[in-house]
Amino acid sequence: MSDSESRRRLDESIAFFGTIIAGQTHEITNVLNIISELSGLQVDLLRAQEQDAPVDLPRLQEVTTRIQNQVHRGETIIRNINGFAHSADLPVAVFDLREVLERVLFLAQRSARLAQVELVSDLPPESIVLESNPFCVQQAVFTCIDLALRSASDIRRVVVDYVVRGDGAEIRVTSGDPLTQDENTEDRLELLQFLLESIGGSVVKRPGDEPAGVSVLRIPRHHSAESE
Amino acid sequence: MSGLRVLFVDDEEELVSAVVERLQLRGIEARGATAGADALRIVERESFDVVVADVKMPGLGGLEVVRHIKALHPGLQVILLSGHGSQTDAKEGRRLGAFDYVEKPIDIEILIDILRNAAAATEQGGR
Amino acid sequence: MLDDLESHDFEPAMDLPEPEAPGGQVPAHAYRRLRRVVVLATAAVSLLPLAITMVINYVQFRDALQAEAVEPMARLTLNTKRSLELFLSERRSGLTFIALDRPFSELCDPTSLTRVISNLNRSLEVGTFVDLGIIDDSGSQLCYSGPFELEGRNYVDQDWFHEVARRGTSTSDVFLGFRESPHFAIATKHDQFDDEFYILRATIDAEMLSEQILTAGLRPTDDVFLINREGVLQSPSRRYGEVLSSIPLPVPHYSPSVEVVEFKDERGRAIFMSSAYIRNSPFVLIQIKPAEEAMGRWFTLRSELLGFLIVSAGVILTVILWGSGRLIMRIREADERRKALYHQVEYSNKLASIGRLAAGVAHEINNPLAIINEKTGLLKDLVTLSDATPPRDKVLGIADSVLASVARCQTITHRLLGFARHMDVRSETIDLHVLLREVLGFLGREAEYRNINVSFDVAEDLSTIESDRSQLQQVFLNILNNALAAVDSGGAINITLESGEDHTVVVTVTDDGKGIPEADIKKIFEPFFTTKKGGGTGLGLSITYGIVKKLGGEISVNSRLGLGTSFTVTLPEERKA
Repeated sequence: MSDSESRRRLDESIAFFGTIIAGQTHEITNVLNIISELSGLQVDLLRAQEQDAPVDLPRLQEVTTRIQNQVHRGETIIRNINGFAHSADLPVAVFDLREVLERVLFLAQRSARLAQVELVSDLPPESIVLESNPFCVQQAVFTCIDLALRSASDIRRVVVDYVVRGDGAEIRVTSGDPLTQDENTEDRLELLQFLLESIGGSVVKRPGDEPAGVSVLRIPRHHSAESE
Repeated sequence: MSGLRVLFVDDEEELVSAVVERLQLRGIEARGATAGADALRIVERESFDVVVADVKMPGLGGLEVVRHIKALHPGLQVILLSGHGSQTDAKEGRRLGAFDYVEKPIDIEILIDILRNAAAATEQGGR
Repeated sequence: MLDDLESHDFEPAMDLPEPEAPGGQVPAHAYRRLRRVVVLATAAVSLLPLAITMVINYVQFRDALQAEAVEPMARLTLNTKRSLELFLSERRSGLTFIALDRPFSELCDPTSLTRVISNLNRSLEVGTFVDLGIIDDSGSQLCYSGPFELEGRNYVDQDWFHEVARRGTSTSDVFLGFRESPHFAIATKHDQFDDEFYILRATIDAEMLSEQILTAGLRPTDDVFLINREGVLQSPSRRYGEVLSSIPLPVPHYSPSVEVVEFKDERGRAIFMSSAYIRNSPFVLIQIKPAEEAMGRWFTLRSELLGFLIVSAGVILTVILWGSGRLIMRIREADERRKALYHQVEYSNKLASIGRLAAGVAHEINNPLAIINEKTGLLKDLVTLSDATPPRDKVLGIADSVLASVARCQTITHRLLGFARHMDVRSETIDLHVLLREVLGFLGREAEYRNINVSFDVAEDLSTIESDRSQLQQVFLNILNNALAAVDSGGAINITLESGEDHTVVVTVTDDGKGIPEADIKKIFEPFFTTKKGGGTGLGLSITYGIVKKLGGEISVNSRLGLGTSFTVTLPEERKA
């Protein structure tokens, strides 16, 4: 792999990292804004006292609960950011695919919401432990989801699931509609190919190939990166 | 101030309900919507003095809402809300006809001031 | 190997990406050169000893085989010489015996002389004496037994007479004698009283000589013969004809031992000639052997050696070429693998460090969130436990606390966002005026030293743009570098920034330097095009062009020879990626 190529790949990964972090940070900001408002609302509710009206205690409680929910939501986001950030610690790590995919789905919710698409998790209950590059896996799955989200606007639903097959797992992203090609699509597909190859996996079914609307990624149980 | 009818639009439902509640506690008739398209529909059916819309929403964003409202109800004032202070958005918003541009987190008192000013402009501009 | 790549375009500052070696050509060049060196060195080291060994072997074998070829010849010649000498010596002995045994008076009697010669012939198994004569010390033939009428003949003026008188014995050359066939004569001197002497002289058929020298073991191409010191054949030669003809070869110099020489004969063919002077005779024994025959084995061996040399050299060279090819390929692969590995490590490291930073920052948010939770929990408890409105200041206190924590979180998220944006390296808000001054700073004090005046014209309402800082730095670094290179001392460079149509910012860099010829202007953005003497990579402007396009902008150039050049870069205010 040439200097410029490897640099490009690094840039892409870093850009991916930045996009995710930025997105989640916006989500946290939203959470914080809501907490501010709700807290203000609590004070507002108390104002009723000034008019000698009884304070609506149940409502106060309700608002408090809502604040706590937002805090919980914030903590979940932080937990996912953390997990995501730490997935870049080592190029090879042992991880539970289910856990990682759940995280990807969580992190991708924002993009899905903005694209007005429902991102659904259909993960099987069985976990599978892989020894691979978790960051790479996340980037690959996210790329597939992203491609599906950028597709024809009729897409309303994207489903993510996986099966344990052979010596590894196959992750499937289903959108049910053909891929809309734009000037970046080829680049994205190349990136996908590269990511899978670097962990010894493969793109079993490319997004855009027939049958339309399905992409399948194969991840081997054990990391076997060929040198690039 | 009584009589002030405000439509608050943001894709975060919790935020909408919190703000609407707070405005109502202050005597403002506030309604909420969580999507730009919904907001436009509501504006058709009911009359409002001011519309407050978040710039970044899935589907129709704040800027689109401004454009549409200005096209159909030129007198109705729209205030843009933003979480990330982009100068470009501000400029574009003004160009499309937004009355003002407010950044989150929302200071309720400041918002109410702006709402009053906007409502006054709407009155003058006719509904 | 990348040291060969000279970049006169610019030396990137700080964290700018390095100029790319064009398509890996330079490394390939270097590998080819390396291979050449390896091949030459290995070939020299392997072929040289081979060649030296070959030469040594050649010389040694030749000498050995030569000796081997020559030795039998020499031995044969030696043996023949000995037997000839013995033959002659026996004949001489016979005569001497006669002289000693028989009284002089008897010898002077023809009948007795005839009987003596007959007995002599009977006693010697070979070597028929044809005649026998007694000659006195004045040269007269006193008595004779033989086919000729020689009594009374005087030999005083003959060389042989004086030789015998002086030396006591003489052997003559071959001459045509009885029946016109070749003969030679042996004479011995015998002293008498009063210092007188007489000579016994006998003639022998020269064929006896031939019989002595023609032994078994001679090849058809060999030739053995006797010559006298004048090169006249004393016995028949296969090559050179009958007795008494001359040989066309030079007579060998005297030597008491057998000599073997190699030279080219009258026909230019290589021959070996062994020669031996026969003692007490005028004869020289010559043996001729054609070189090819003698050295037959050598010639075969020589071709074999040569063949072997060629084949080995061929094999060695083939193996070297193939081996070095594989070796260089392996080295190249290893280099590439190392590079790839390096990239991989760089990649992982960078990601890991970013991850840690992000995680670290994000983690900080947990604390204020926890506080919010706590405080609101407290509020809840207050309401639940007292089932009455909690005290106002308490609630306000909690609300303040919450807002304070939210504010804390917000500063953290702000940092996180800034961090994420910087990570993205794609987009940030940039003030081009500031950036351009920064870039000038990177170029060092060159402008100052060379008295070049750099001026800025910045529009008042110039908008900031959203773009990639490091790539813009690269673009303008390149353009400014070119401008600096084009102007002379005391020249001027002007940088103008203004708003353009359609939400763009236009940056124009104008210099009053040499300018670019019209023919070159069209090619200026092409890869590998350079007008720099000693070459640059020619990549600077093509990379610049690529970057500007990628950033969604446009770049153009205007120039007049001798007047100056201006580069115009138009950039969109907002990235449309």
